[in-house]
Amino acid sequence: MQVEKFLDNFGRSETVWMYACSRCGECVDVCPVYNETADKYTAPGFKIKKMRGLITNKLLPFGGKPSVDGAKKIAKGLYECTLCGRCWSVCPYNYDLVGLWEKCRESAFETGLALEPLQQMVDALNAEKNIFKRPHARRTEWAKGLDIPIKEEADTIFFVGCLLSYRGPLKNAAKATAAILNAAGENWTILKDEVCCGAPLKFSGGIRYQEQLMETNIRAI
Amino acid sequence: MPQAKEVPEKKYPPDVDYSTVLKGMNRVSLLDTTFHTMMGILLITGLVIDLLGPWLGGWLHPIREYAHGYIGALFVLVFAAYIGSVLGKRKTRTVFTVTNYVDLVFYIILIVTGVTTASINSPWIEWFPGIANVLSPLVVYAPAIHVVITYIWIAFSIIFPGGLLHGLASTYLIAHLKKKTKIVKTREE
Ligand code: HEM
Ligand code: SF4
Ligand code: SF4
Repeated sequence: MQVEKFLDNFGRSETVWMYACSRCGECVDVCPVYNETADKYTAPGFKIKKMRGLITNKLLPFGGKPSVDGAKKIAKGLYECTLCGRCWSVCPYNYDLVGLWEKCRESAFETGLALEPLQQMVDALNAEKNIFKRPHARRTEWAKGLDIPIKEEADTIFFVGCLLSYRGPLKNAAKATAAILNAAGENWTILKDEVCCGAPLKFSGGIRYQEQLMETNIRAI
Repeated sequence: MPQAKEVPEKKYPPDVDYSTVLKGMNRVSLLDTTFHTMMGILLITGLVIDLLGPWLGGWLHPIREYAHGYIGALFVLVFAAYIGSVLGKRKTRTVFTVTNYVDLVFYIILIVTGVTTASINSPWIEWFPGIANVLSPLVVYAPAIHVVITYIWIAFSIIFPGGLLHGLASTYLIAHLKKKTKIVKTREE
């Protein structure tokens, strides 16, 4: 764990924002997670306050080292956030708070402060290109026996995604979509070699691994 | 093949400038905006009196008495409401830092010494016979404390991330860090 590097990825905007936040508390009142848990570390304004402490320590020449315990508490609060964006919608500055939470999670991930299941997800994606660690070869299994085109060229591509490809009951949604596209007479296809879109990595801070997946999909398209 | 149609460009995230932030502040709390505006006027006029006094000539008196003195008197009332609203709400207590609370103490000292200074030549002092006795021993030191505390407050609230650093950071952020605007284009069938 490299706690002293936590939030090192802050640019000028995020750093200045730590001090600009007006401490009005609007975001605190509307956060659904804080209202449910009553744990201060989930309250958006409180997280900003704690991170301001860390940033100030980094800026001051005599600033001390951050405590592992404190950083862990902040990181846990960051991961309990649903990224719903209600805090952003009420902030008088209209500051992109969801972008801020994602940036903080990226740093938490890179410094080893992220939650354990996330590493499992990254491992699954590296090994099988889906979040469930099911065999990549079976990604199109849901399409078996159905009239699902796989073409080199088409007007419409149906990007199925991990959930619809692998999750039992949700496979029906993929099948229904295919039926609608067929009934509408669309010139469509699924990708020959689709992989996870990487959104779960973006939400959870593992942005480093997202690029490769995106590349694969873009190339396939 | 369906026709690709242009839909109006949407700005994401929306623009942020001084007027949108001011509107946001007003929406959140009118009291908060009033408090900040008056505090800013008192700080600026106070510094003008102190630093530019000898050059102000005939302006010194009106600035001191009306712009600073009377607004200061109104500020006492606004501050009383403000501190009540800040300390009375869970949301503000959650985000306030030690520096913010110390800032409040600075305001209280400025208010007490300011009122004391103003009491020397204010007619209302006659209306409260008791208050003159309380204030008179302070009158000699009050102006000096008032000014010295102002400068200590300025230094304190910049060095520790307090009210003034927040003000400077806000101004900088709004002026320099205009959000990059992503254009979201969708295709409507
Ligand atoms: C944020 C709040 C305030 C700040 C930063 C502030 C600052 C100052 C400063 C720097 C001076 C210059 C004094 C000099 O050099 O002569 C001054 C004077 C004065 N202030 Fe304030 N002040 C504040 C609030 C108040 C309040 C609430 C009152 C109450 C009515 C007040 C009443 C006065 C008076 C009467 C003077 C004239 C004193 C003199 O000329 O000797 N001030 N203030
Ligand atoms: S985005 Fe996160 S911090 Fe903001 S209101 Fe939603 S859950 Fe709370
Ligand atoms: S709503 Fe915005 S300005 Fe107010 S405390 Fe939350 S983040 Fe800070």
